[in-house]
Amino acid sequence: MTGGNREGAGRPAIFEARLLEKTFPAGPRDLLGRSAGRLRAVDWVDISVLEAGILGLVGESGCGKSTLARLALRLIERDAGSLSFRGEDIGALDGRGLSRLRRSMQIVFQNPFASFNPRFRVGTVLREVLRVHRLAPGAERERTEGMLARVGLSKELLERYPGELSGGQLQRLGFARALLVEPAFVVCDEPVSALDVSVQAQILNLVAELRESLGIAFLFIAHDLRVVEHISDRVAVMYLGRIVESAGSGELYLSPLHPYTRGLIRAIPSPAGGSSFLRDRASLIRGEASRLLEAPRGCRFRPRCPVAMARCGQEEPGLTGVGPGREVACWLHHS
Amino acid sequence: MRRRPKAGRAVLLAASSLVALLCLGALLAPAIAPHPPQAIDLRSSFAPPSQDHPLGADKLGRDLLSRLLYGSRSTLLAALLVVASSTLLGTVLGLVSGYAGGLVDAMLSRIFDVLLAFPALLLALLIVASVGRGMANAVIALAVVYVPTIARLVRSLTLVESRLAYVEAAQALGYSSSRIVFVHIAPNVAPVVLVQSTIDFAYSILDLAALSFLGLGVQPPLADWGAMLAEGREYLLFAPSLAVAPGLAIMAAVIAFNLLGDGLQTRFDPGRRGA
Amino acid sequence: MSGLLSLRGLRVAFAGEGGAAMAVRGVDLELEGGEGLALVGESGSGKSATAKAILGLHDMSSTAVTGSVRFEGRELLELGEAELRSFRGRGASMVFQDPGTSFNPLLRMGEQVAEAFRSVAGLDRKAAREAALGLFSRLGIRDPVTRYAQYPHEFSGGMLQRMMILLALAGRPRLLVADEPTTALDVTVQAQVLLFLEELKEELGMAVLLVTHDMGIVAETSTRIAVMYAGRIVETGGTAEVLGSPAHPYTEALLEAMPRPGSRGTRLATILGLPPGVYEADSGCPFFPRCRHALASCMDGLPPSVEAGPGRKSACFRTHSLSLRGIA
Repeated sequence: MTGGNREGAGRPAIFEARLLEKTFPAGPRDLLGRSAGRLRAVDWVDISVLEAGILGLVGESGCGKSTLARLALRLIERDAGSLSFRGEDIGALDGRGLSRLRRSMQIVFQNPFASFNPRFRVGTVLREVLRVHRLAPGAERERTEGMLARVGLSKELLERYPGELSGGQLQRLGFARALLVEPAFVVCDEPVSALDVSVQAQILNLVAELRESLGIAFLFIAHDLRVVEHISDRVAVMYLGRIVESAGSGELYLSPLHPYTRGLIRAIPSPAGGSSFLRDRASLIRGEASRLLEAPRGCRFRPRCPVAMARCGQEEPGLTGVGPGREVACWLHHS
Repeated sequence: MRRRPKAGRAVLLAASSLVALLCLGALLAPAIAPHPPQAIDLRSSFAPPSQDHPLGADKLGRDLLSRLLYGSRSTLLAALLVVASSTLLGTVLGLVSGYAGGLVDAMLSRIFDVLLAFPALLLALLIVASVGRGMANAVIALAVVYVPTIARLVRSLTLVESRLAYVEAAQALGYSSSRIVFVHIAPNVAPVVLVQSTIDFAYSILDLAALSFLGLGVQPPLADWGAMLAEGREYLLFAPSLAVAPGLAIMAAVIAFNLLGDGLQTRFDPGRRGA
Repeated sequence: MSGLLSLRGLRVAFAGEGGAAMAVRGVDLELEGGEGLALVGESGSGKSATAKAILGLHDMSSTAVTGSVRFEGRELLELGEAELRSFRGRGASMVFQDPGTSFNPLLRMGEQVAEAFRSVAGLDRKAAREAALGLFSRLGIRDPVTRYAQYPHEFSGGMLQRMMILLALAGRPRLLVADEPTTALDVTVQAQVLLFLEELKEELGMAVLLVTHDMGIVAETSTRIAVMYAGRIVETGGTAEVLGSPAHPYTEALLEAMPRPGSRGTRLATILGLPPGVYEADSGCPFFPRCRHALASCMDGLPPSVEAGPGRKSACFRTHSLSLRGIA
């Protein structure tokens, strides 16, 4: 559904999720500690990442993007839906199969400071990966040093503890650790949001370089639209558990279709000063997203939507194709 | 804020010297005790402190200092056994409960809750009463009593650690659950466990003494602080040192291990993940 | 309307494990009444330490604050704790990054707001309650009487931050220091809070010192900008001029590292290496090891802050010989 854009024409999907659903217990609890409501964290989501492609996933906090990342890697289990990697159904894998999957799909986390066991030296961290997967026996030192060089870190760091490294160095180390198993697909869950802009640029360049030289595909999750626009071929916009629009990166930013996407782009403070939202106050989205404890009646964006119509209060729009490689879930664009 | 570590270091030093002194006394008891602890000498019955009996002698003329020194051996050894076994078992159960979650966690947690609902000493009394008196049974009883405290502590620490990205990263890298729990999480909860078990050591000295005092722990004629305290109680007005000396010994040991626990806490606490 | 705030040679040093950690190493800054100035820098640049020094919020037992902070001609560094307390809230107020931790989670929201009105604006209990309810209404909170009795976690982050701002302004200060006030918020909420701040600024005419790492926010909100690096201000000037054609290589490097429309498929310029550590003594220009335009002579002492155009200054030896790229 989200495949077949112009950038990736002809390339097959490496990872696909269909009708993915995950709810968490939430809301007031009864005497036995059971929650009355279920938070609909991921609600019928389809995504597909092409071989050597970068799919950007953007959305505000609580929209379910980090949950989606963990579902994709089966770090948490979905309630419903299917997952496939290179055509193979990976939703039912267990034990050995899951361990094999871990070598194909990896993840890099948001907070580099919490991503490493503080008691292990960098060298130990990296060698452990090789040992657990019985990779490069006897050549562990060369492999770890080579990987450090690959992500732009000096091999002197092997003897250091994570606490002695800067945020940027730790995030590079996060990539090094993930890449040691030679994955074909890496999920990046907000990998730059804890970093300063100069360090962020280094990590973005690293991701682009890894895709080019190793052909690794990425699901790149961020809340910063400019970051996602810069790094991705395609972008999916998520709102309260659902993808509301997806398109090629350039197209999405030039002509956003969904009112939420439009508002999101309009809200980016622009250093160029040209599109100041302070001068164009009417275009701002008002209010804040509240957690969804039950399936909404009508469109989930309606309470904040500046152009909501009568129909939006009755039926929820599905994601529909509106042009080559473009999909949007909004009644305005349903013909 | 910057001044606290110094005070902490002083406490740690004082406490560890006291603990070292106690352990030294226990180890060297055969060499430094003036008399064998069980040697009866009715001529010295209730002898006041003298050159021969530095702290005096009891009803049967046994040397009080010697009995204190030998008593520290059984008391410290028993406390060590209690703490070592309860810490080991409690840590493993806590790690498993916290990491596994779900039904395992729910069941273990309920068991801990039930055990914790009893006052510690009462529970120990119940266990000893059902399996019989004696030092070994007292140790087992107290070990059981101490498990839930450690297990609950470790469980809550494990829950916190499990949510950190390094544990998620380990899962994503395909590491086995036992590897994640014992290689990655365990070392990170260890400092807190060490502090808690040091403090438990102090409590178990007290509880062991109480069991012996009630006649359920160490059996006569073996020397033990709690048993000595019970014996000495009868002559409190007549020969107060017989009760006061073991009482002070218990107090000193309890304070020493408590302070050591406190000192270790301030040592380990400040921002492991900071920096 | 001149000379509201003047910092001269401001230094802030924390007692650290390696000696004195020099967070701020001599900051000079002027702020006019009603003006919007953005203090920009990366983490560890000393921008927050500078902001806190203005309100005397550093823990004096472990921090040395020296130099001069003059507010309407009064030297703030010489004030006692009691005088500082009466200055805070009335002379200048501060809003912090995380609205979630700015309120006591165990107290009812309405009571906390009323309490602030009582202590800062000196209202009695009844008037404070009225004022708090008025504030709730002003924020567009429906059913203010019910919400008055709710706890902070029942309010959204954006709402809490707006309340924090209104509370900070309850004593009608002439200066509001806002330290990354929207960093913890989502982008659509950030836009609303920035707009709210802008409207209040127009209405009340106070000056705003906005501490941020986001050049976009600077451009949207502040007429002047001061760029900090390693505890010093390296460039100041009108926002449009500085962003359009920076005079200091660090400003240029920051702008080039930002992803922007049209940067897709290109490598972003990066700043190699790390800024000098807080314990490191000065030797030459602090940006020298990372500077693309550096010459050997840049190691000869600290570069002085020199005129770089009307109302602009730059602390670079090569200010007048470089032509740097900004963003159009």
